Order: sequence, then structure tokens, then C-alpha cells
Amino acid sequence: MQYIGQNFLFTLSVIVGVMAFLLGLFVYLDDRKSSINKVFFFFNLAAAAWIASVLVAISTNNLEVILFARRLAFGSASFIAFFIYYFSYLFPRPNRNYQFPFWLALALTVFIAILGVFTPYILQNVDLVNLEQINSYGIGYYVFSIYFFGSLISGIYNFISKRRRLVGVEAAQVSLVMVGLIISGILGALTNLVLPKLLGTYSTGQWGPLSVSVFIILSTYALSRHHLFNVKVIAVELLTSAMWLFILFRLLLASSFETKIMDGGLLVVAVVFGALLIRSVIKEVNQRERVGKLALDLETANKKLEGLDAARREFLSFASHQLKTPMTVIKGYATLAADPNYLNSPERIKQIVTKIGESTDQMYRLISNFLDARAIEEGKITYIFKPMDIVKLTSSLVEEFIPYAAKRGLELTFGSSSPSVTVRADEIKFRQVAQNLIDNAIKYTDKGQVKVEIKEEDSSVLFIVSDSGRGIPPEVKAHLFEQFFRERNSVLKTKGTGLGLYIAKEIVKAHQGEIWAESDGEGKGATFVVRLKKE
Amino acid sequence: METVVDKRPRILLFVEDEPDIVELYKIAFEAEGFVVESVFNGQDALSKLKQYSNEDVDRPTVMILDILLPDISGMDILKEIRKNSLFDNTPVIMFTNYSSDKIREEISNIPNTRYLLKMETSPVQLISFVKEMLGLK
Repeated sequence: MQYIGQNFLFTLSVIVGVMAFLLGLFVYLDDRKSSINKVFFFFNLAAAAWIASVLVAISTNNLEVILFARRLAFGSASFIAFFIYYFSYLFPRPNRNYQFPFWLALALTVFIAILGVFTPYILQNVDLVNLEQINSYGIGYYVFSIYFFGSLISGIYNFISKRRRLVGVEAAQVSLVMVGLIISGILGALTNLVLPKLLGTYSTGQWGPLSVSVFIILSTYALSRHHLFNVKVIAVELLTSAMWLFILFRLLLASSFETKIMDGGLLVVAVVFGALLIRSVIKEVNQRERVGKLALDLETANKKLEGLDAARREFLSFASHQLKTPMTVIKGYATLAADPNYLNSPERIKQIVTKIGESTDQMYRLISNFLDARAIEEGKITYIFKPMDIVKLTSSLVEEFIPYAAKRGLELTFGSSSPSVTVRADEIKFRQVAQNLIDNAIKYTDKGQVKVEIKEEDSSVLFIVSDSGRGIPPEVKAHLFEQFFRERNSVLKTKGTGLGLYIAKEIVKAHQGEIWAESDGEGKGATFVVRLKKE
Repeated sequence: METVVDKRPRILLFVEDEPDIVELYKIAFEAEGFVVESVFNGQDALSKLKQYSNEDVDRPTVMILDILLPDISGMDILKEIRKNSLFDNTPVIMFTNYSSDKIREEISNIPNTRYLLKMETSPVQLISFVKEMLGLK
């Protein structure tokens, strides 16, 4: 019974070792560029080497071989410790707060491995008494134990601190890997490091290889959920290669020639069909991935469309509301003008007529903006590019705005690095952009000044409007030039349409220029810059 | 007894964020002898209400509130007003271009409060509504 049991344990350990190696290899081959996959492969390689050394040690009575195999186990275990920690550093994303001292850690690992394999400092000697392997350790045993448990505990600590900051799938993955590490680490160290020292024999060592399987199974599951590799492909590859190995062993152990021929034929058939199977699974998985990606793209596009539709509806109701304000003013003054009680002086007439005129202008600007945005969307805007003096245009525009700025208690200034700069532009369209930016700056500034500047910069010229106004919060800055975008808080504060900057961006784009906004945040003013090529 | 009421200035508190609209109605109300106090946002409106709680400050005879304001909804300001018994007899007109049956219904249940659309109410009409609510007609 014991013989069968031990034999079974041995076979199981061989399977765990081979599977660990193959799994690591396939995961690596699935994505050779991923450093997590690479480290996972090397970890599995070290684990397979460790299992192999333990298995060699328990399957022989040759003392020299046993001693070397046991020492080799210490060597490979040093690398296991190294890769455990490195894996905990990388997975699921590298620690941000520090850089892993890779070369230093590797040098330490190699040093301890050399100490374990080639010197008697860790494992002094092994003796056989009644078929029991009696060990005697050196002083290095403690060094190794500190190193091994140190790596294991800091790896676990790494996972615990990462786990706290993660949510959802990633949190579950880290938990799985962590649990695997704790179980395998404790079992492995207990059966092959702690108990052999306490008992003085390697009687518990044979259980060691199985402990590794817990970590391998859980981390494989976690990695596959992370889409670091394709679990289906790896599973097929693993099963197929297990089948090949099985037939190969049968072939090697076969006693009769007929069986050899049969198993050989079976192996050829298994290899051919297995390879075909793997290929077809890879193809199918790739196809499915493509379809999945397409579906995701469609979903994103659909969401975007829905969002745009909602924005358009909201915009329509907003736009009609905005139009009502100047209409109310015009209508109100018109009724006052018809009432002799109010129309009692020439000044009053002038005031009323001016107000009606201003409100009509405002309405005209609103409607033009709506129509322009429509035309841009339908690609129906035509540009007439001609040489234009941007300094002259800007300076006259600023002049026009000075009374409006003064009315709001703001200082509006203009400055240029040179008296004349020629650009190739559509004057009417560029004027619209400049007007819009200056108007915005005045609207969004409650006190202080608005500065308009023209600056030359190599082969281009910058049109700059800066103000001491409300500024732009960072989250708003990203959407500033989008169609229908309005800062939520200012929806009702101003008379704008939320289209001005979108139109400006489109016009500047048609000029092969750039437009952007700069602001240190709310309350810190804003600067809008347009860059055009000099003629 | 009657002369005491007449001597006090008739104050109109106008909460409205559009300066052009404020200017328009100011002309009309001032011609009718009202003193117009205007604020452009909800926060300022709330601090005005606090000021009015002082004994020595003249309280408004009537209040006109826009609904869509930059910071606080005019409906929330109305709630504050109606919570305060000092303003029980002060008529409030919710004056907006925001046409909503829900809000209209809500306002119809609040005493001494009316809902009027700006586009449909000329300054002259508004004055006449105010006078009606004050019992001056």
C-alpha cells in the first residue's frame, strides 16, 4: 500500500513539475513582450527545477546524488523567492512609489544560490539511516531562511498594500494570487525547510512539490481573468502536450515491438492532430477576440451617439431659452415705446431705440452661431484665403470692444511685437474667431483686465487673449472646444450658445492653425491662443 | 392711519441675472414710483432676505424672481421666502421664460405667489399685475 501510495505521490509530483514548466512556457509564448508573463515563466521554471531536484533526491539511494540534488533544491528555491517578490512588484501593475532594484536583488539571489549549490554552508551533509535521509545544516541555513521568508513576506505585503487600492476584477485577482502564495509558500517552506530542520530528516520533503500546485493553479486563474493570456489556448496546449508526453512514455516503456510500432503510429497521429487542434483553437479565439472588439467599438460609438443626441436636445431647449432673452427685451421696450407715460423725453426715445438695436444684434449673433455650427457640421463652409494683416485687424477689433469692456468696468488693452504681420486667412472667418475670444474674455471676467496680443514666433504668429477672469477648471478644459459644451456652472450665467469655441476651433483648423486654452484653474484667469502660419 | 402706509417707499426686489431685462423693468417700475433693488444671483438674493429681517431696514413691498439663475434656483429662494413669516403678506412673482407646467402647478399652490412668462408679459402688464396683488387696483 505504502509503495503504491508513494509511487502515486511521485507520479503526481512529476505531473505538477511538467505542468508548471509547460504552463510557464505557454504563458510566455502567448505574449513574449509582457514582463508579467516573462516573470511568471521564470517563476514556473524555478519551481519545476526545484520539484525535479526534490524528486531526484527522493528517488535514489546514492548519497552523492542525494546531496547534490538537495543542494540544487536550495539553489532553485532562491530563484523561486526572487521571482515571487518580482511578480508581486509587477502584478497587476508595477508599484509606482519605488523602482525594483532588479540587478541588486538578482545578484543577492545568485550569491545565495551559489552558497546553496556549491558550498556546504547551507546544507552540510546528508546521510542515509534506515532509508531515511538525515540532514545536517550549516550556518547558511539561517541566511537562506531569512532570505526566503523575507521575500515571501514582502511579496505578500506588496499584494496586501496593492489590494487595498484596487477594486473589482483586479482586486479579486490580487487576492487569488496572494492566497496561493500564502498557502504554497507556507506548505513548501514547512515541508522542505522548517520540518526537515526540526525533525532532522527529509521525511516530509516528498510533499513539497504538491504545495507549489496551489499557487500555480490560483495564479494561472488570476492571470487568465486578467486577459494576460488566453486560457482556452493554454488549456488546449497543456492537454495536448500532456497527451503527447503520455504516449511518448508508453512508447519508451513498451516491451514488445508491436506495441512500439502501435504507440509510435499513435504518437504521430496525436502530434499531427494535436497541432491542428491547437492552430484551429488559436484561430477561433483570435476571431472571437476581433468580433468582441468590434462589438465593443460599436457599443462605444452608440454611446457616443446617444450622448450627442442628448446634448443636442438639451442644446435645443437651451438655445430657444437663450433666444427668448433678447426677444423679451425687444418686446418690452417696444411696448414701453408705445406708452406715452414712458416715452416722455428724447433721451428716453434714444435709450429705448439703442436697447432694441443691441438686443437685435445679440439675437443675430446667437442665430449666426447656430447656423455656422450647422454649416460646419455639413461641411458647407467655404473659405476665401487672402493675405491679411493680423495686427491691423486685431487692433481695430479691440477698438470696437473698448466701450463694451469699459461698461463692464474692465480694462482692455492691445499690444503687438511688430507693427504688421501678414498671414493667409479668410478675414471674415478669422475676425469671427477673434471676436468670439475677446467677447468670451470680457464676459467671463468680473474685474481686472483683458489683454490682446500679437506675437511672432519663428514661422508662425500667435494671437493671444488673456484675462484676469473666472479661469477654467481642469476638468472643463478638456471639453472646452467640443460642440454643445458649456461649463455646467455657467449654463445660465452668460448669453453664449456653447458653440463659439467649437466654431472657432473649426475655423482655425481650416486655416491649418492651432487653438488652445491655458488656465491655472478656477479664479486664476485664462489665456486663449491661436497659432497661424505667417505668409 | 391710512397715511402711514402711503408714506413708506414701495420697494421692489428684483432677482434676475440678465442686466438688460433688469434695466427694462427698472425703467417701467421707477416711472410708477417704485424703488427697485436688484440682485443678479441666488446667493445675493438670500443675503438680501437676511438683511430684511433687521428691524431698521425697509422690507420690499413685492418681489420678482427669475427661476433659472446661475447658482440657486429661483424656486429654492421662493421656499426660503415662504418659510419666513415676515414675508407672509409680501406678494412674489416668479417671472421667467422657463415654461414648465410642473412649476406652474407647484406655484399655484403657494399663497400670494404668481407665475408669469416674460415673453408674454409686457412691463406695463407686469406693473398692473403687481398693483393687483398689492390691492392698489
